[in-house]
Amino acid sequence: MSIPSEAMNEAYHQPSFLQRFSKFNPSGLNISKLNLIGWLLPVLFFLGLEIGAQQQWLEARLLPPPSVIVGTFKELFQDNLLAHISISAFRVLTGFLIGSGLGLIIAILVGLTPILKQLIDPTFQALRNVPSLAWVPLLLLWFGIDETPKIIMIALGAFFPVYLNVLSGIQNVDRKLIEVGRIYGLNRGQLVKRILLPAALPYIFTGLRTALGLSWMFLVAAELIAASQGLGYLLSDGRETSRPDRVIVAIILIAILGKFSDSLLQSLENKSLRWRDTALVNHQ
Amino acid sequence: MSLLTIQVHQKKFAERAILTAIDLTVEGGQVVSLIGASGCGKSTLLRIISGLELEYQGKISLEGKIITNINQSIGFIFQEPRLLPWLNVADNIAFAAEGKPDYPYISSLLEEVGLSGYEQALPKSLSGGQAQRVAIARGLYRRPKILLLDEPFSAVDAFTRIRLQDLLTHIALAHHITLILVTHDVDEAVFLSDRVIVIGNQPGTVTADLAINVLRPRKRESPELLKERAIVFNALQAAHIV
Repeated sequence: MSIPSEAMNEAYHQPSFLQRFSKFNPSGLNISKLNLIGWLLPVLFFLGLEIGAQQQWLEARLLPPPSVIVGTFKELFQDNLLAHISISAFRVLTGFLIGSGLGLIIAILVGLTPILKQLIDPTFQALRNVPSLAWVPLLLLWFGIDETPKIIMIALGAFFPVYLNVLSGIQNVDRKLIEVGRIYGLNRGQLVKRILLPAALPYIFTGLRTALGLSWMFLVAAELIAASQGLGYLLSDGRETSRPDRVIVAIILIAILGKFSDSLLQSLENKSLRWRDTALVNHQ
Repeated sequence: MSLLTIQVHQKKFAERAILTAIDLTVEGGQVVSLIGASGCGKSTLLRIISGLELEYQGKISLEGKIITNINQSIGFIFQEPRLLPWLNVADNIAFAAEGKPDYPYISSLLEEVGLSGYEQALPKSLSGGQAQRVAIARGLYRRPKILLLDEPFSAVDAFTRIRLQDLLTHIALAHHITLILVTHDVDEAVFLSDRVIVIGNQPGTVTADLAINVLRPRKRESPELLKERAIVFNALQAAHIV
């Protein structure tokens, strides 16, 4: 017997409260216009800088205007800027993949094994408070000044946010969903794959995005100290040669690359988490 | 031989006895309601039967064989739908599949619960009643001999509850499934059941086991049902539940 019901179809097509709430937009602007608003602050800042420099209100030697920065950018571009960007991107990507991969695996093991949590977690909770620069002397002593210490440092930066968020995600999985898995006879591995990991996915993405941001920060720390290439090296070189324009170009590039990589991860997050019933997801 | 034998000598939580001296047999095709006050242990009894609760003194036998863990012949429908929010409706039902899911069968189950065409819908787009229908379809996927239902309609509105009760009656008859239902609702218990078992309080034990001798299909306001309702109500009063 099927139970036809007009009310069911109606309920299916009715937007939820959250969906209606998320569409509430007192400004009357659409989303694409709202995205453009994000450019307003940097554009105004650089416009002010240019006017300030041309009117000689600001000292261009210390705070170079955008016209000088564009010139420096062209100069650096002809002088192997792409190689600096590529090596930095490679270091971030490698360190991020190693650190976040290990963070994910260890957090799953710790989250599922109470004895392992008692054994490992207090040490990790202490180590996560160690600032990035504190690792530098030790890494240089152990691994010299080539790629290895830089990648390890970035991996360290990426490890802790993923570890902490995934652990928290696994521990916060609704016990009721785990019972559903038990009722259908799922073993431990199936429970992890079919319930724990999908349920912890919002936490995993939060961890990954934080880790990616920290990877760029740790990259700069690593390249400032011992590098002959990379965006961190450009920062250091700009300071040593008294070229603030070069420093600003490097800062802008790090900001753009950081934002670009985060946007890629964010779009993957939105695609993977479209099942979430949140105002934010329904808004996007 | 009875389909299910339930013997729970004692079940304790933190040294406090929750259930004691439960000795019941359930025949195939019966609809049995467990009714009692909040905290009397009826949901715990259902969890013991399902194999979710393993620490108790006693034994549960299915067709003469003692079961000591989750048994795939026993399905469970929870108070809340407990759909996995990241899976669409069809995949939520397919979650019950042991191997490769049988999607045509899933579509037929959806048709049976009145949700044809909802295969691709995500749980967030369903109403409470629709989500519980999907949970019922998931509970039926493995063709269980017994379906345990823990206050399955307590979270839906009165009209939806009536529709779901009708659906459940149809499913029990069509599939010849034994239903054991925990409820607080006397009307629901009397309308749906062949037997109403009253669980008394502190510790929970069977204080009355009443047969509802009214032929199906039943009419909710029929004098026979109202008479049975009065008997159940008296039993609840005698057990100091109401």
